Formats: sequence, C-alpha cells, structure tokens
Amino acid sequence: MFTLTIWTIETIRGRFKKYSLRGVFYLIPFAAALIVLSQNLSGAERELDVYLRTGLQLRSIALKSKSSNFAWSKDHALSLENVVRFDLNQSGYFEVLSSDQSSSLPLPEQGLASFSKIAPIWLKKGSGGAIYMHFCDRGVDLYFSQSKKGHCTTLLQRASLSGDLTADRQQMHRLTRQMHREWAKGDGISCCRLLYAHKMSDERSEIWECDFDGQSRRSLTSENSLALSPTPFAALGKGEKGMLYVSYKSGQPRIHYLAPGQQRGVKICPLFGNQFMPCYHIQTDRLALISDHLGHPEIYLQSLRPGRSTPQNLFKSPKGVQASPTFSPRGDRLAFVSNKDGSPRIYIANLQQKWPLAESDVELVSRKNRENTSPSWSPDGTKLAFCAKEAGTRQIWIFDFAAQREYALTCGGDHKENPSWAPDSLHLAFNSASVNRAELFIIDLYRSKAMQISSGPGDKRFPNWQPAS
Amino acid sequence: MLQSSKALLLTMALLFGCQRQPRQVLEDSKTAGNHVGRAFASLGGKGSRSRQVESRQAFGLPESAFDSDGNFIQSERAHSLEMSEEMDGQTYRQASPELGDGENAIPGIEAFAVPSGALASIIRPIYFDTDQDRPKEQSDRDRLIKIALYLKEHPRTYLYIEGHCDERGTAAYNLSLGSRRSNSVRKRLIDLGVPGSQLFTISYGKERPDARGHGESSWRENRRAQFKVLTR
Repeated sequence: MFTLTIWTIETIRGRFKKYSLRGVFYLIPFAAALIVLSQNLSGAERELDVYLRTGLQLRSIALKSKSSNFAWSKDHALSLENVVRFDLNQSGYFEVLSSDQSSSLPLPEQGLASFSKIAPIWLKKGSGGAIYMHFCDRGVDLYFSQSKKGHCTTLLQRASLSGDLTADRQQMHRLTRQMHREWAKGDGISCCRLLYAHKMSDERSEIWECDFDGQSRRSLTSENSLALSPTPFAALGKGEKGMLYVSYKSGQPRIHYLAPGQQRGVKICPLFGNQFMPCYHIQTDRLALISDHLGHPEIYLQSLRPGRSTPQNLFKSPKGVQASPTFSPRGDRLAFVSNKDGSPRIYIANLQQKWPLAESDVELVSRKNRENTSPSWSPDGTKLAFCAKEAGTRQIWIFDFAAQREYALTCGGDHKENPSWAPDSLHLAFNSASVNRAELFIIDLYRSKAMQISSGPGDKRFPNWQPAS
Repeated sequence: MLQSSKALLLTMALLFGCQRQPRQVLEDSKTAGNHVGRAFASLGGKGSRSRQVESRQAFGLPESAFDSDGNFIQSERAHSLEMSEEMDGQTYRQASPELGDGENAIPGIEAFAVPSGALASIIRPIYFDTDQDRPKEQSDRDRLIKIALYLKEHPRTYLYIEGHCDERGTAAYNLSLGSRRSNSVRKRLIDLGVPGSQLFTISYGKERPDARGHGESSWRENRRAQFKVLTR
C-alpha cells in the first residue's frame, strides 16, 4: 500500500494568487513522477489518500444592539458594540456580518425567551452564531445563540458598566472571551494586552501597554531614557507578575525588572557591560539574554531564584554576532540569531547538552533567505516566527517544525520586525519599520492581511503579548 | 507511450525542479565564498581576518616595544596573556563605570562629553562596512593607534565607545552588532596597550543615527563607533 499525503496549506493561506503559476508549473512534474512511481511500487492494491488542510473556516456571526434607558450616550454604546465586533473579527474564528447585512433582522421585545424565539431567524443570516446586545440602565445584557444539531441554544451574559470607556471596554473584552470559550474553545486573545516600546525621540523611549486592539494605552515606565524590548515576567509559584525590559537610564543598557504599579525598574543581572533582549521561561526559571560582559556579545542563561543568579555563557562563537534568544515552550531548546556563517540566520540550541555550546552544536533552521532575525517560538511549540529579508524587504516568515519548511506570512512594501506570538499560537503581533514610522500590527496565520492597531506620533516597536489576567 | 511519458516527466523535473532565482544563487555563492575563505585562512593558521603591517611605526608603539631582533615584545606578551586569560575572559572583560568609591568612582555616561578642541582631531569616529565589526579603512586603523597613544599618555582619561549601525538591519540585531563594533574597537585599543579599565562600551544599534538620509552615503556615516571622553 502506498500512501501519498499532499499538504496544501499555502493555497488556503491566500498565497495562491502570488505563486500560483510558478507553483503549479513546478508541481506538475513532481506530482506526476510520484504518481508513476506509486503505480510501479504498489502493485495491485493501491490507495491514494489526499488530505487537504483547509485552515480555519470563519463562522459568520449576526450582531445587533439596542439601547433603552441606557445611562450613557448612544456613542458609548456604539463604541462598546464595536469592541465586541473587532474582537470577534480578529479572533481568527468568526466574521461578523456588516451593519447593512444585519439591518433587516428583527429585534426582540425583552428577555431571554423573547430572543430565543427570534434567534433561528438571525441564525439564517449568521450561521455561526447570533449576538444581541441590549444596553439598558447601567449595564449590558448580551444574548448569544448558536445552532447545534438543529437545536438553538441561547445564553445570557450580564455586565455592569461604569461609563468610563476604558473600564467598560475591558468588560466587553471579557464578554467576548466568554463567547469564545463557548463557541470556539479556549480563551482567544480578546483579554490579552501588548507590551511595546514607544520611541518619542532618539534619546527617549518608554515602555507602554495596550489592549490587543491597540486601545487603552498607558505608559508603564517614566525614566526619560531609552527603554526597549519589554517581555512579561511572572515569578514561578509566587503569583508575582511584572515585566523585564532593557533600559539605558544608567548609561549602558541593562535588563531591569519592573514590578506592577512601579515606574522605575531595578537591575536583575550582575554582568558588566551591555545587556540586551531578555527572554524569560517561567517553568525552568531561566532568563536568556545577550551580554558583552567578556568583550563580545554572547548568549547567557541566568536563574532568577535568589542565590542562583550567576549567569552562564550558553554559546561561544568568537566571530559571530548573536541576538534575540527565544525559548521553546518546554524550555529545553533556545532559538537565536547568529551570523557565524556569514549572514544572520536562525539557529536552535539544545539546552540539555553541556554548556557552553560550540558553533557546531547548534542547528540551522532558516535556510531560504540570507537575513533572518527576531525569532519567536509559538506557545504550542509547532512553529517559529521570524523576520527574513525577501527581495529587499523584511517580511514575517514562519518555520513549521512538523512540515520542516519555512514560508512567508506577510507581503507588501514595508519592512516588518519583531514578531511575537499570542498565547493562542494563532495570532502574531509585529511592528512595521518604514522610514521614520513604526506601527504595531496583528495578524493571524490564516489571513495574510495584517491589521494596524496603533497610530499617532512616535515609533511603536518590540510588541510582546501579555497573557490575559 | 508510458515509457515516453515517464521520460518526458523526468526531463521536466530535472530541468525545472531545481531552478532557483539568480538572486538566491548569488547569495548562496557569497555564503559559500565566505566559508571557503575561512577554510583557507584556517589552513594558514589564522582564525580571523588579518592585515599586513608594513612598518614598526604602523603599530603606533615606541622603539622600546621591539627587541634587538625587531621582534614585537609587547605583542608577544599580549598574545601569551590572551592565550592564558581569554579562556576565562579576563583580557577583554568589561569594566563597570559604576564600580569604585569616592575619588575612584567613574561617573555614568552623562558625565562623558564629545571630544572638543585638540582632542577632537585625535578622537574621531571609526567607520565600518555593512554587518562588519572591524574598520576597513587604513585611516581608521591608524586613528585607533593615535587614540591608543593618547590614552596611554593620559591614564586619567576615560573613553566611552558607542557602537552604531545603519537603518537596514532589524533594531534587535543592530543592538548586538553595535555592541560587537564598540567591543571590537575596545579590543583593538587594549591590544595596543590601553588598560581596559579606561574603556567602556555602549551599543545604540540604529537608535541614534548621525545622518538622517536613507541612502548609501547616510548608511556609511551611520555605521560607526564614536567616542565620548572624561578626563579627571
């Protein structure tokens, strides 16, 4: 029996248009040769399995709202409806019908029973689900209905509102998370926040955070210095959360820890010289960083437990530039950038080997392009996102460990940098890096169109996801 | 019929299956060339790029640095030191400007200033090629010798070496590359006899460009190591 499995992820991901002619042209001889070989090898009994991976099918959602005796303005209600709309549209699972498409849907009189009656009509428009938001008094009732095996199930979620847009937006994100749990399993990303560096001038960059949709921004540091590369930090078993980042406030760049509620971080690494690009793995309690302590930028690993804080050199490459370490989810491997073989490429070090590793101990991952930087390991461990220069432009690329292949996720004229995986391993945040302008974007694996989530003066860079609280 | 179709298919596979873009071929050739170059260098016992020094003066060191046979004494001593100490990383280990108490303490970078007056003609920026950490121009290498001589004559003068990059690499990678450049300059100055405790490095990557343009001339100006000095 000969089994042939064909993976066609590329076509589903929307890259079909770009490479269709060349791809088909190359594919024909190989596919034909494989079929001829299979005929020769398998004899009388033959079986051909063709597995088409379709990616995630977006489910259409009908969404409509009504205000009655609402304590705040209609604009406030509309803003909150748009939060839910955005969250669902960017979830990677749903697609909300436009206002025009759902304008003809009847509105319920009042209560769960009333909506349950008309929900089947809504579900004819939005086959994936129906959501009715009723803003009344000082809260919102959110009815969401789904058809399962011919039965229509309707649930009600209530949330009180404060009139403060920032706080009420958080409530909407939580409601969307609840819907995501019911309909798509998992928490989704609606309650996640992003850390990033906001550069106002050559001398000043502070760490900020925002919701995943770019709203509710606030500054976390106020050091009047250069602050870069924020990464979330949570001490194992202590429930202590915070952030690691690089600050130039004392001259040389050093890795600092910022506790919640504080505005000035404290140094955590005893090495002299420059320290960059912290990456923390909570389960193994390891901090990976770049330091030129010994006169050359190299990768170090450090435990943050008291009494065990001496950093150790992981990898020696006297002629190379090392950068951007990122842990695998289990913490047993580390991907990083090195130009030890000429141009910057992504390598993986096995942390179960004895340190320091020699140049030959690390495995090359990125092979297609010469300039590969900023790797980020997906939380499910199946993929590595990185930045690669293709035809003169830096794009976000993905290395798929299962298929052992790399492919471009983004396209277009602007440079893209610093990809960072969301906790759902489906979304990425990155920043553009055009001339005099850097903005934040999010993208999911199945839609190649990225969504810009920041605007305004200053460069926003180094996005990093904070898990939902 | 089947045989001819098989032959046709295999021919097409051979012709087009391994076709690559000219740019990819060029890039791979560069990488291969790099490896071959390193292999030849290692066959000659050289692990890194080298250059020929044409005269003793090119070292920028006094005659006393050479023995009667013209051998470079300090270089050999430095080499033996490097062999014995680089293993544990002492030779080029970074000094901390925050160490020391009272009069011995070295203040932070804010106390260091861009060289001015006569010093500005000696301590001037050093420039690099793309993704390189060693100065290419002879004039830059000569300048390092002059800087080393000045620092050896003025042991209470301290130097901050800033590593900068052009805008073309990613911000994260450029921070490492800037560190590599500033450390390369520091290492060279130490090799020329300057105590490491006089030298500090800082990498700004592409955060602080000198030239604001977006062409090759601006990139060339931004791939630099520049200096700030403090005299006590």
